[in-house]
Amino acid sequence: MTKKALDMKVLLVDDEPELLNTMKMCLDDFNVLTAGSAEEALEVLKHEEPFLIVCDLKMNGMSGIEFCAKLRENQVNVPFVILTGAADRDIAIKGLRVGLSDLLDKPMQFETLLSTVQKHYDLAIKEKQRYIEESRALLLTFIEEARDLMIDFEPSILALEEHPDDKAGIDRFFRKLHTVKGSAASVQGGEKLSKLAHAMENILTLLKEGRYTITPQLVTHFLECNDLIGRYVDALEDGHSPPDLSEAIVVLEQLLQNPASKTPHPVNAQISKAKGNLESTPLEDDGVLVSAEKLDRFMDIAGTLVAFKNGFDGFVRYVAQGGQINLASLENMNRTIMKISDNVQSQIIDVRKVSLAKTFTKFPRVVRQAAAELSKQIRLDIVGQELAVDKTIAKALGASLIHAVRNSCDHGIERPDVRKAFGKPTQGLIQITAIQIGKTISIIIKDDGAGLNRERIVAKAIERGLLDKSKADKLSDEDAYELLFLPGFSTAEKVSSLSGRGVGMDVIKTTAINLGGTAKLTSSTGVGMTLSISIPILTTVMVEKSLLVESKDILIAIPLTSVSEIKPLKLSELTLIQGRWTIDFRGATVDVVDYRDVLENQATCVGKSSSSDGSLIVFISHRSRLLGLIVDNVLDQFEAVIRPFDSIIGGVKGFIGTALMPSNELAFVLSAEDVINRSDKSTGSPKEIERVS
Amino acid sequence: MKAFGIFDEEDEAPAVDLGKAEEATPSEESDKQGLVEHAVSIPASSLLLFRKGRQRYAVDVQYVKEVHGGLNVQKLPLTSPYFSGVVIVNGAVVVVAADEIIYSQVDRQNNTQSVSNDETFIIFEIGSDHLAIKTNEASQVINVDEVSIRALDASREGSSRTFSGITQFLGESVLILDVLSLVHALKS
Repeated sequence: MTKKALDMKVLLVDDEPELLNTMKMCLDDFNVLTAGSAEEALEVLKHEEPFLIVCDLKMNGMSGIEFCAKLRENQVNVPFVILTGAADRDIAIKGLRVGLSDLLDKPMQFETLLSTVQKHYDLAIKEKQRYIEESRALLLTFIEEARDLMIDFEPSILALEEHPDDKAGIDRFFRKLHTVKGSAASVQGGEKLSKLAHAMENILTLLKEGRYTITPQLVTHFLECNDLIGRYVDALEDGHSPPDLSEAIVVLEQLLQNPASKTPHPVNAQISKAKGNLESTPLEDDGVLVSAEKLDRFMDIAGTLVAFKNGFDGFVRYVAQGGQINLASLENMNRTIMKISDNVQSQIIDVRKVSLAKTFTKFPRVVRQAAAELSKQIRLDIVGQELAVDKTIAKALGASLIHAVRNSCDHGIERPDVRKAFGKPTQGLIQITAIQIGKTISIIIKDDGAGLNRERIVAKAIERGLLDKSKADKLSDEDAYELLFLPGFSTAEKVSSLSGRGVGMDVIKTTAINLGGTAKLTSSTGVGMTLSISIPILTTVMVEKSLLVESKDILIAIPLTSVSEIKPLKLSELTLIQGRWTIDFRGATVDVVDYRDVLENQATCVGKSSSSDGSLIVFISHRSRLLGLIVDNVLDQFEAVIRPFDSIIGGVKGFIGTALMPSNELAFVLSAEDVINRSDKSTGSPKEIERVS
Repeated sequence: MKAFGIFDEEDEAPAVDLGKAEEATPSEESDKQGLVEHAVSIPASSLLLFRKGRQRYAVDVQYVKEVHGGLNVQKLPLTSPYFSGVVIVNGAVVVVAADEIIYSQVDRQNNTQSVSNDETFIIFEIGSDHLAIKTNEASQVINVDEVSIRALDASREGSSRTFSGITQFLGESVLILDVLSLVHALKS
């Protein structure tokens, strides 16, 4: 890059045009400004910020030293170099007190001029870089702080509507907004953001003083402002042009002057606009915020690892020098490294966890918008949002659950008059519950709306050729509702801005499957609908102590947490009940199956192939349900490093991923939950039974 | 990719209309009905040639990550028409596409007349996805002359889904495997 490419200029001031011109030619590599007098230079400085001023001492009008003194008086600290003849050198030296940076002797040595300008140019570049780095650091600090504070903005705005008298809540919001305002004003480019926050503060002040009434228009506009703040912060971070805030500020000023007046835009238009912003929120990988405490724990582990490494290094040297290998020492080292490995694993899992609160943050707003758009009254209750889950799960759920919430608003919850006619409260309820049971996270979205219309679903499926009319009556409710998960399947008569394209439920199911989980719908006509999503806790890499078994030439890893007992398969203990082979186990009657038959929806044929004597039954459990799994052999126990299936293969029914064995063979990691669920649903007819004596 | 061997330009046979070929090989014969007059443009500059049975195929080298021999295909827990199993390549699990989804029935019948019993796996990398196919030989890379590649018409049962065109090399017809379409077919 040439020096001219940068916006770095040197200002030459001399009342001798010839000398001025010669100096300019000498400094051809630089961006040069010129002035014929100090007065003219002062005019130039109104618009320009040169990195250096080179000025003659004696000039008509203001002298060079007077010019410099004036600049310093006005806090202009641009480096100032005086050109002076030998006769005036003493005067010039005295002038150093007013803040001269350098003296250049006349007659002019152009090499000296060039090197002096170059020196100041280099210093200015360094200073500029330092300033940029400091500004960037300040900006990043602001962005981090603002994002942290902004997490509460949307809930706080929505709370204004729900609890308009909650002065403490308004105060909390005000404080956070005020912090953002103050910080924004201190960073480059943040001034307009600060003005917007200030305009919002003005209204909050009136609210606190009871001199303002909250209106839906105000809440909607505050939500829009919140979106704008978010986009502004994003733009500052990315170095893009920030959004224009002037219109939003004008609206706030209008609202401030006349609380009862309408906003310049109709409410619905504003809702649509805000919704557009919500939908376009990109699913970027924004990393994980790790607390200092957690990092300290990693430091501890690192310290332990280094200590172990040093010990191991000493041991290797000792053995290399002919020392005896002590088995006890080896076992001790093995225990230590296993402990460190366990520790690293558990800490990483912990670090990856984020609260579901962030995922659920947008739902209150979605419900509010939908309710306004559909002229319905809907309350949203969220339970368990403090639950911490793996970041991958939180992110995927955030993107997919929004469809379920919208569906409930659009198709589930009835209009107030309809609800009243049915004797229901006019306000509908959508409840989102997040709970962790064992190693599974359940998200339940329940509404008290009209429920699913089985007849309409089945009719639509027949119409679209997805279901044979003759089989429609035999279809269980659960299977009928399952049709709603098919891509493009919708019973909606028309597509609305909220739902009806048959995409949302497909997205939910696909997301659940991709996370190794399940999604299920239940419904009761007139009472409501429930969507239950179950997701195993980790989907990236997890280590699970597993039982390695062999079945039909396939190695299967069954997580030990799912294994209840192993016993030899004795055909005499089996009983055929309603086409299923069962066994008495701990006082309960438990189905006994071959995994492949379950997954291919066939009845297990005991006595043939795999199910012969010498085989074993591994009793697997999920929650309180049990299933006997016939396997050919139990081989080992090992720590399976589980990897999910890649996106090409997608999900494999009954399995959550693969685990590579030390022998380079592959074991497939069984999902007890999925196999048990599928076994419950299995409708295959019993095959010919051949008992082995 | 140069490890596979680059052919000299003079080795490349000019593109010809198979319909005019005097002596067509059995596989060429089977391809006749699949030819149309439209040239196909593919972005590849080089193609990796591979052989399945007696038929030659080619694939865009930009998707080829590795070529491996001697890999053990391990069965999947379920019978699948799309995957013949998985192989482990450098510690990673890679699914192997089943011949049924790649080749048409006619091709598969021809492919059974193998000239080699060796199994060579081509490992593809498409974004973050990995996929393997089983071949009998994969050892040569040729430069592409775009006009020599012609489209397959829809009457070529099954193939038009995973093959983007056909070309000629040393007098043999070479079907061009479309890796992206194959991945799409597997995912859908």
